Amino acid sequence: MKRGERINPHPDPLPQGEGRQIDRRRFLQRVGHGVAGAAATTLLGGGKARAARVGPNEQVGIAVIGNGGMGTRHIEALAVNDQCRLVAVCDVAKSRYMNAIDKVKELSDQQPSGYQDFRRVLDRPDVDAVFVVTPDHWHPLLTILACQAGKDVYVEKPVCTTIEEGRAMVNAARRYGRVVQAGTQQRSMPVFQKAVELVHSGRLGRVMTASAWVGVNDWGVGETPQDPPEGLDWDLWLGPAPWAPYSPERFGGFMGWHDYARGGQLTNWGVHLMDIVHWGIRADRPLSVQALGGSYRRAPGADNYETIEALFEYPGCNVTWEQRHQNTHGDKGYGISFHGTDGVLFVDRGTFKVRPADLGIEEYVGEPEKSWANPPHHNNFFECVRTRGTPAADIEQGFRSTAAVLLAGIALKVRRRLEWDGKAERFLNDEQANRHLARAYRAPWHL
Amino acid sequence: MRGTLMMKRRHSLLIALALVMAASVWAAPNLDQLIAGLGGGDEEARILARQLLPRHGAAAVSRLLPLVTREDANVWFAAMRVLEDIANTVSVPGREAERIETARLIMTLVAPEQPDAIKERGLRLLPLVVSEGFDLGPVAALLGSNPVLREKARAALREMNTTEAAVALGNALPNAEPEFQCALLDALGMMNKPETLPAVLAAIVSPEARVRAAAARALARTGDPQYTAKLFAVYENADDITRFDAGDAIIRLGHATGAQGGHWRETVSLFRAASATFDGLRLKGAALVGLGTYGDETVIPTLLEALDGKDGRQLEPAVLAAFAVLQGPGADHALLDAFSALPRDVQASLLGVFGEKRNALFLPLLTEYAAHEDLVLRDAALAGLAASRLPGAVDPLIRFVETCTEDERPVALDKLRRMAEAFRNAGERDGAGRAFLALYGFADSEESKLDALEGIKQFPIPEAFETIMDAVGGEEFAQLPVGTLAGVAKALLDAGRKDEADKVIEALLPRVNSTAGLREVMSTLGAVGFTPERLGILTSWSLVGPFPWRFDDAFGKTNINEPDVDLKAAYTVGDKTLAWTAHETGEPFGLVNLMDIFGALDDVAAYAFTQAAVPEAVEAVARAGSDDGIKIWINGEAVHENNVDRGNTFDEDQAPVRLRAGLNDILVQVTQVRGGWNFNLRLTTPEGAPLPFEKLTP
Repeated sequence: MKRGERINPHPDPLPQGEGRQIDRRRFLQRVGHGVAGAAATTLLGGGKARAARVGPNEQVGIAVIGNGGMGTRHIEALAVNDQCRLVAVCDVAKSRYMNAIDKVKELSDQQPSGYQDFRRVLDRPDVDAVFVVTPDHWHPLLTILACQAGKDVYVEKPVCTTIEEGRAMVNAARRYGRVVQAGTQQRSMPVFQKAVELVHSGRLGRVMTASAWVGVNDWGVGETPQDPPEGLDWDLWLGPAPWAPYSPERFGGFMGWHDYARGGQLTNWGVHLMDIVHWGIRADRPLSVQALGGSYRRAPGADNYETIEALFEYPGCNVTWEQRHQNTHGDKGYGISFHGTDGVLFVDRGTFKVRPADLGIEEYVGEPEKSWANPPHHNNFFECVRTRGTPAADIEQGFRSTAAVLLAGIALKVRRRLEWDGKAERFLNDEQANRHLARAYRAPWHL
Repeated sequence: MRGTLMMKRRHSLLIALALVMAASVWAAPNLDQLIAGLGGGDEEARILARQLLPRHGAAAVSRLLPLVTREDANVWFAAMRVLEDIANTVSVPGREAERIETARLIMTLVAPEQPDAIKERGLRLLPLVVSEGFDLGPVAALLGSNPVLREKARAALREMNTTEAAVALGNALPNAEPEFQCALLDALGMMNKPETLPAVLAAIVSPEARVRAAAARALARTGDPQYTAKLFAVYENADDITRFDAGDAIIRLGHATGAQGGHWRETVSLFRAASATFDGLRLKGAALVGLGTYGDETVIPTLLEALDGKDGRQLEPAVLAAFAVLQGPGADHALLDAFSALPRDVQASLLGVFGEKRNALFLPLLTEYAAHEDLVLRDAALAGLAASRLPGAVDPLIRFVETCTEDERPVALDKLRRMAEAFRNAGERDGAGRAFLALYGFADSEESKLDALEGIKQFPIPEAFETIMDAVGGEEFAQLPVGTLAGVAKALLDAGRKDEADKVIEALLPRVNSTAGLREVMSTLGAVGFTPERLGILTSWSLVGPFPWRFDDAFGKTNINEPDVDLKAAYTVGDKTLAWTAHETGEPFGLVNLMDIFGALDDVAAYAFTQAAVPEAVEAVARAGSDDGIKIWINGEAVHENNVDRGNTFDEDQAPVRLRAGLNDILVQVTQVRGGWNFNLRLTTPEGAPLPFEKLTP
């Protein structure tokens, strides 16, 4: 697609994708009872919907949109998960979805269809749920369009790049009665569950400070605009973001660019870690936020800051976020500490430790993390798709964890302390800062 | 000699001043130097300029703008980042003049003579700094330019979000082609300004279906029910491509109307009409969810009817979502009445919904289904019970744990544990107490037993007393954490069962052999009158000081003829006379805060004296914390000294001592380097248990 050419966000429904392979054998063997209904096709509004909701013993038909690094991790886990069947994979880069198909074939006897345009995926009636694993700037709109298409959604974190988008996502999920799970999978990891239980138990005393940090945050320098490679729909990759010429730095390093990700690791690991902080301190709306950052690379490039220190004020608890070039706390490249009046708990994905030793709480060592894609978190989502229950990381919660770091990113931009009205989702007495709560979508895309 | 010395000093001062000036020149280059650094070829200079230029605010803007137009990406990119920082920092109350000047200067980047690439850079900066009332003519003019530039101008105006920006977008609407009209309407909808409503209303009767749908979306954001009919008209006249968007606009209007309150009837009426009108199931489902969100029990027949219809299976998710958000006692009763007639899968989901509603009304049904032979319904009911956070949900879950298969047991226990945790978080004492007590009974590992005991400690219930009391004196009791026992003792005291509480306290005291244990006991029992003396802490002292002291003195200097003590003696220090004064500390850990008593002083020492009586000679340990150093004499014999500059850590120093039968003299010297100045001291058995002694006030 050429520069400036426009695409219709709601095209005519297309015929069902070819190569649909539904393998329920593994699942039925496992559950031993219950037979899924036939997946007939029914016209629904402007598109198509599944003939029936997913039954208690049925596999969930899924599609993975975004087949890059994280998308591939999800696909590897989902291909061997008998609670779902991979109906489709989709990426704006043809080579990526072709690789994804090969990966699925390698790991299972499934043969998903491949698509370059997500709208073809949303049009398929046998897709019950989509995994949104694209660059960040696409998360909100894909989630909203999927909800409107009658799909449940697993959306990677950060769930949004602005506050306005996040609220629109929650509204869409509620408006269409969809299950939307955020990819904050640490909620489903025993090490964090146990650590948070310990914090809640009061054995650390009253927790009045928490800190979270990550120490790997290095974006490349320079940019080399050029024609997009064959098979990549660059305009669709940009989607709602401002038009910019293709460069491998943007495509491969989107997390460093403010148009696609609002803070680099701040909105990447920051969401994961602040999510646990919120859980631990039982508060998810900061009262104020301030931040300081810098970018001290030689030569310009990706425009997000590399080093950030942020301070959040929550009711009864201060929280700090540190983002540096390298490990910041001894041998721990990332982690969270809860500081209570009687003790301190450190936790990461492998372990939690409590000091002082005379509190008598032994170090907990969890199962090593085998993949960033977390099967228990997937399964919690699938269970909720079947039962219509609330997932472990419901979109509202995922939004609030994302919102916290977005606010820090805004404080960084406006270079001042901001007071936040969590209920109104507006800054107090700072209309200029409030402008950063939303961004204009490039037409024809809209929230 | 003196004059030469003065000259030397003067020279030194001049040299130092010159060095300071040189350093300040390096640390704070002027604006010219920074601009040169940003635009030059030295990356280190550019990094410094990038960091320091924002300090110059609006004064730097005119110097930066030429750099934005440079072809070298290294330069214009850095200049853009600096301008962003300046635009953000001047856009605060109190800097209005700088803000306007900055906006005016940046506006020159979008002047007609500028190349498109420069205009685009200006459009990225302007939303950061333009304020209400600012003339946006040059940006508005770009709405008539080529598709790429006009789109960037549209986005910039939308992000500015001022009245002038909205008016500019509205003015462009009539003459734009349909595709761009849709984009303009989307921006106007997001901005939602009354000044542009006429333009939006004009567009809603456009001959183009897509423009009408876009106008409907924009109107939906007003939340004004007067536009309901207009939006339904757009839906009725929509083509296949825009029908969904037009319907979605109606749903959005319903939610926007309902959310702002005051239009309940209109909102429910809108969703009823929508559910009857929409022929697409996605929109129909959304209308049903809207009914559930804002309706009451009167909407339940409509929801049930949808389930009974030919599309019932497809509408189940929406109807269940509607049931989940439906509120009010009437609605809960109606749902309960309808339950038995519903399809099994709906029942299963509804059991979860009932649990989430956390209403005791649903408890009997959930309890009944928790023993259902249909495993799907049984599991759903158990999940509902776990989610309900109702104390009454504990017993059915316990019964399930008792009766389930070995395979099911881990999951069942996990449900019970999660329920206990939910109760704990909600502060539901009875539910938490019973759940943790049950978990204690089911515990199959030391770790799970300790976890359960921690919960029992926090939320002891009468049944837990019996469990703990039964264990008193037994082998199991010896394993219970001190904190758990303290919690139980407190609960017993709270319940008026003093004798049993005393029994627990007597049993736990010998086991208070760690600082952590002592802290737990005091933090738990301190509130109910438990005194530090019961933990061996000495609280009554006679004090004298401050005496001059230097760190190098250590404890080599005699001030009060120590180790002898004469409480009636007075000591002369300079022009002051020091005498012994009595002090009773009320601090829970027996802290004697010498800084509060003698003042914030440096390089001093003080003495504290007390007596403790024991019935017979005994080996003991004196445990002390001090800020800073400490020396201890027992019955005239020095038993411990630690000349140190430190903060107080409870029990940090420990010295074995032998106490004689009857009265024992205890003298302490506490030194002070600077900062805090305090100490505490207690007596324990060699094993660490508090040593019983008779408190004497010297």
